[in-house]
Amino acid sequence: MRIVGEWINKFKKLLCALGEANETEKMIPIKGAHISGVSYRNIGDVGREFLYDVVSEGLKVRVHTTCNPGYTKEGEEDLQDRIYHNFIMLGCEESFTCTPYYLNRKIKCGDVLSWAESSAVVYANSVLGVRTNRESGITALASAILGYTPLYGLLRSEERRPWVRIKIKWRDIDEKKAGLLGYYIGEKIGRVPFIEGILLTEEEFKYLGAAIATASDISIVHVKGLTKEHKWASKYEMHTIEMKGEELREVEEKLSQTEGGEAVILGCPHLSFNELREIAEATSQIRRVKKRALLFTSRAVYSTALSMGYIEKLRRKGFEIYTDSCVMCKYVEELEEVYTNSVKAAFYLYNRMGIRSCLKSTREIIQEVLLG
Amino acid sequence: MILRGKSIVEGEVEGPLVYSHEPITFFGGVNPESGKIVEEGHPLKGVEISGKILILPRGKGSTVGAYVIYYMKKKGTAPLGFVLGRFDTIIVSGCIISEIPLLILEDGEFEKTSDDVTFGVIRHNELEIYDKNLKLSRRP
Repeated sequence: MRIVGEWINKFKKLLCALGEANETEKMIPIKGAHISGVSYRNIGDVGREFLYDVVSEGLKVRVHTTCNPGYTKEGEEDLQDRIYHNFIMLGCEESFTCTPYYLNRKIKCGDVLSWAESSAVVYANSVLGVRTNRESGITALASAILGYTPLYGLLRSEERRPWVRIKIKWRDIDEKKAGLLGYYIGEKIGRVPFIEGILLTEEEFKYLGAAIATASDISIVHVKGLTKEHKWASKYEMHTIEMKGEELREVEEKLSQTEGGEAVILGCPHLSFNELREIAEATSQIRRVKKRALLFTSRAVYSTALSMGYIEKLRRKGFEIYTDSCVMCKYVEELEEVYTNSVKAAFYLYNRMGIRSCLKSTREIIQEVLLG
Repeated sequence: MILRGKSIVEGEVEGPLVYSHEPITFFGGVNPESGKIVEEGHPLKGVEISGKILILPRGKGSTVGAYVIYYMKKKGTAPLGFVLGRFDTIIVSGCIISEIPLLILEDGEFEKTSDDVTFGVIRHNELEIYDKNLKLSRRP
């Protein structure tokens, strides 16, 4: 027999225990939450039944809450829809994306949030200057329902400080190199870095952040000239490491395991409007792409791109465009080798599904693979 | 040898020890059905963690890991207990809702462990580690 109010009490205990583990009793209100653990493929019936129980208790989120995309195997779509339905019943926004920072909603520097999705956490803390810990799918859900989080970790200024100054001694950067750099820092250095000597766009940072979160528990990265707190962060005394670029070769060999691919996979994390536009413009001169190409983005970015005509342009060239989905979905599952620009995708596609990646920058993929 | 720490989820468990130098991601790095570590290139690839005390420096990777720990508990493939060198929200919250004993070590304690030890007991605020053969031979 299920006890009414079981999960609300467990959620309260969970957040108290989280506070206790970090020696704080203080709870702080949050302005928003982002939940991971949405895919039937990942959480299975155990997770689906847990969410059903939470909804059956009549619980609702107290703050604006977004969710990760879900995916599952062929024939299990109905079970995935039931999970989506549970999140909608909880009051979450009906948009499933790993890039909640691209939604048309103002997030202010200094806002306290409770976000899961490790890549989004790094981006939000670093580029937007919000304060969120790298929450688990379950603690983010608990905080969304209760409206607060323990005052710990990255909500405190002193824990956002960098420990290692990384001087980059090469100039050219792209999505792939940014990802390899992130993975290298996560795996070999493992402490909050202050990166200088390289100019990164926000999109390139997205790939760096996603990769650093794949290889470590680092949840904030300072980059000179780009991230919100870089001036404050640069004042700390740090151990300095110089990087020439060849350090990344080992990581590349581990994660880029093939020379070719059956299809191009872009959108891990979900593509921004700028990226979609650039892909559309770079392929405007050809009739059709030479390789199957799957693009993953959020509903919000999709609708902006749609209204400006880019979606139609891309579809006419043969691009497949998916929203509320993930590169680990059933359309990719049937493949053995793919081209991607994302180190994070390469890691999880191989370790979860045995799919090998050929890592290239977006530009290389367009020029060498799609334009042929 | 006794390592000092802080019990986050109380409970006394004794069992074989799996000692990982490297962090582990439960999503992508562990197969929840078999209870084995599957991450390519991980020093413990192929090692089963079900029914064992897992000691690791810290977590990494996907925030879905907490669900994976909960899933493993329900399926009977979860570790017996966790010992962490550094706090990690994903592993800690997974253990809390799954009611798996969890200890976070004090600074410097993780480095005192070695690959030689094969068994451990998690108690309140401590982990005792020992070589099973030696301990058995000492017993009357």
